[in-house]
Amino acid sequence: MKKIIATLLFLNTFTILQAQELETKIPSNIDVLISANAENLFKLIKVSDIDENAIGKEILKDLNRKREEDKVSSVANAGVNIKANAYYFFSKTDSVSYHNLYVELNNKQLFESMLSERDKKKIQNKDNYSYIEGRSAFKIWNDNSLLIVGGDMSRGYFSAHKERLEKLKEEGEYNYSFKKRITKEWTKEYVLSVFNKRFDNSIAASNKFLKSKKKNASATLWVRNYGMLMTDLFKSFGEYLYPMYAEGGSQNIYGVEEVTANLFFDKNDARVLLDMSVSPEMKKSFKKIYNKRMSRNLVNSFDHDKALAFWSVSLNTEETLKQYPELVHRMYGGILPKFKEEMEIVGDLFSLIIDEEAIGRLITGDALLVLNDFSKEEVEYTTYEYDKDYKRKEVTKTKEEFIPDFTLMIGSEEEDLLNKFFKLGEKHQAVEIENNVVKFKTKKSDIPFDLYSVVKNDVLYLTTSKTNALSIVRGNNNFNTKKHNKLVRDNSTVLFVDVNAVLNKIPNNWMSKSEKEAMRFSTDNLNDGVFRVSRMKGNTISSELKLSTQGNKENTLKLLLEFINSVAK
Amino acid sequence: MNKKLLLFLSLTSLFLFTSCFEFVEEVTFNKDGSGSAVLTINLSKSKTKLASIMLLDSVNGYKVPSKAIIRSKVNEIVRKIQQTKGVRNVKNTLDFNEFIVTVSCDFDNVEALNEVISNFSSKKQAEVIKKNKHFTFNKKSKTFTRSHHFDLGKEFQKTKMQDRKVFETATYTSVYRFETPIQTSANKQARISKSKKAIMLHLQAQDIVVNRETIKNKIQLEN
Repeated sequence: MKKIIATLLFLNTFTILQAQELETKIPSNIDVLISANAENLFKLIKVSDIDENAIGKEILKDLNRKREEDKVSSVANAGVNIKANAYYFFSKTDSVSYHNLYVELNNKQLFESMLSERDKKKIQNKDNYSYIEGRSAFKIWNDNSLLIVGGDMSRGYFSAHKERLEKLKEEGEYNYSFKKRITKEWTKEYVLSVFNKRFDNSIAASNKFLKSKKKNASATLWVRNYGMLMTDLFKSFGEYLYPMYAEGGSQNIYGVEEVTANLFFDKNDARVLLDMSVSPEMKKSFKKIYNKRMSRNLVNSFDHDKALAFWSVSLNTEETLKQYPELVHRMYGGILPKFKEEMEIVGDLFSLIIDEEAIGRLITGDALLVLNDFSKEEVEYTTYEYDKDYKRKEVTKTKEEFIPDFTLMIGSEEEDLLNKFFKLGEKHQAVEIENNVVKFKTKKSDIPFDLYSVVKNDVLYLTTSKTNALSIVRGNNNFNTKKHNKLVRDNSTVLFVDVNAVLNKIPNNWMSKSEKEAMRFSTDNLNDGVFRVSRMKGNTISSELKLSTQGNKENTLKLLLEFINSVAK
Repeated sequence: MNKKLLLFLSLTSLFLFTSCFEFVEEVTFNKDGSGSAVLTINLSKSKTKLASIMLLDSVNGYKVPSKAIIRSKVNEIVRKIQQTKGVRNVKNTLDFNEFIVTVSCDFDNVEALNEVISNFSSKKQAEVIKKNKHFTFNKKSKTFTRSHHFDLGKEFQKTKMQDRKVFETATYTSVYRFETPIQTSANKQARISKSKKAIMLHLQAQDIVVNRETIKNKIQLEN
């Protein structure tokens, strides 16, 4: 018995090692890596699920187009081992950046037979590998793996090393074709140095990468240092496009460092979880800005069970204004080192002029927008009637339109100032005030709905509904405020959409056939969508995009395949 | 208040409306072939949608022009018409509450109207128009023809799917008035008035763009 367990365990580790085989062949100094985690994916679906899907059928049709016999019956039988992880990674030198796609092969001959006739003629066979030097991509493979690489030349590098590179130019060669030729040569050099090499410091040995891969994730994205990557990219576009960046040193302009994202298909939801770590200098500023909970006055001001959608933002205005000069100084001081002192003065002046505390009282940084409903409204319009001699007469008719019914809440501790402001508006006839409800005198042709405002409980309310405005003034609301309370208060930003509730408000006869089909699918399977950005925890800000389902299917990946099928029909 | 937020909301309500617009062409002829013409584009039925669109920078990938730009474009068009020989008394209205535009003018003969259309076309198009005049009025045979040089089906195929929706509920109406009674009309959709001195053609834009119906007509007046 022990032996069996040991063997099983051994086999198990072996398959995991197998699945990660390619990871030992990807150098750890790459900048971006996306891995499709086959093991997790095929826990969710079978190969036959892909074959029977519209996408799989399309792939098979494409593969079989030129095959007279030996038709391929499954995407798993096309030479590529789809049960092994596939990787995309981005790496760069100061001169060329490379897009790489690395997959395992399980049948080299089969893979080669799938190539186009034109490509087949270009195959170069070496001892241990074969390759095709294509116009835009370099393909190289052996019995076990296939690597496809596309190279992009850095403009910045070319202008910086113009003189040296000019010497490599052939006589009469155009700039464009010269760059292309050089890029191709360097790409080939790079590919041969990478392909099928086992690296001691591969990503398989990189702790950071291994940590980024979450359990059960179907796909994982890892970016070593987002801020630096952007700085380098801007630089590579050359001073012509981004003169500011070309001048600066190597400065992480956004203060964002490692970024990881994981994609999950669970039974009741599909979600993308993104973690962003912030540099130690920026961390302090970010913490002060984002670590604020939304005031309950706003959260409890709408019926959570009835809202079709809402959007909440909560940040600390006072701290934002205080940190702003610091952030500007750090971002632009780095980009424009020559103007470091000037930037500092701009920052100091800003602090001097702005009264952060006073503004922080006027606008606390809490904002909540709620879509309550869509209401029908009779709208007049002008059209024509003709008499018996076809003389035209202008007539007014009415039609029904759908108008969004929403409430916007803005946190403010300066009620007196706001009230004074509205009084002034009344004096100048921009608003009417009745029962403490402010009505904006908007022209129908400017804004298609009425707008009311109420100032109460340190909140400035703007709403399209007079009833709503009046009930806010009276304060006799009987709202259910439990459902989203934690979600809103625990995150700095939330966007929530009750998908079916919104769709059900739209009159059916206004939809086309495919829209109706998508709607049917939605009401049968979906629940709601949420995007949220967390507050700072340690040096990390997390965000999540989550689509909840009714859980009618085994998992959401299967549901996705089904959706593709129903739309592709 | 936050204008962007307002725009966001207007945008969410956008997809709830379909566009409607009326295109009306009226021409009144005197016996000598001179006359007056009024062109009306009425978007009043879509005014809520348009008011919302006017708050945006762009929609469906098209930049939304400001009122000032629309005004100056219309003025430019009017100026161009005024410069055409044989055209007088050019007037226009532009109503941003109801979204109605009209342009009217008097003309010495229908050639002047053809000239106006040529002036708004490329040189190549202008050549085509010469062979395929939009209006002819033969005083001798007392016939009036309305035609055009567009290959509508072909033009329609070029438009994007989402843009085609614009035509779904649009209508085209033409009314021509004469001093002499109308004898016959070639377009079966056109209706002659009781007095026989006016003829009206009312079509769905959708039918025109797919070549199911045409605005072309040949009208024979009584001798």
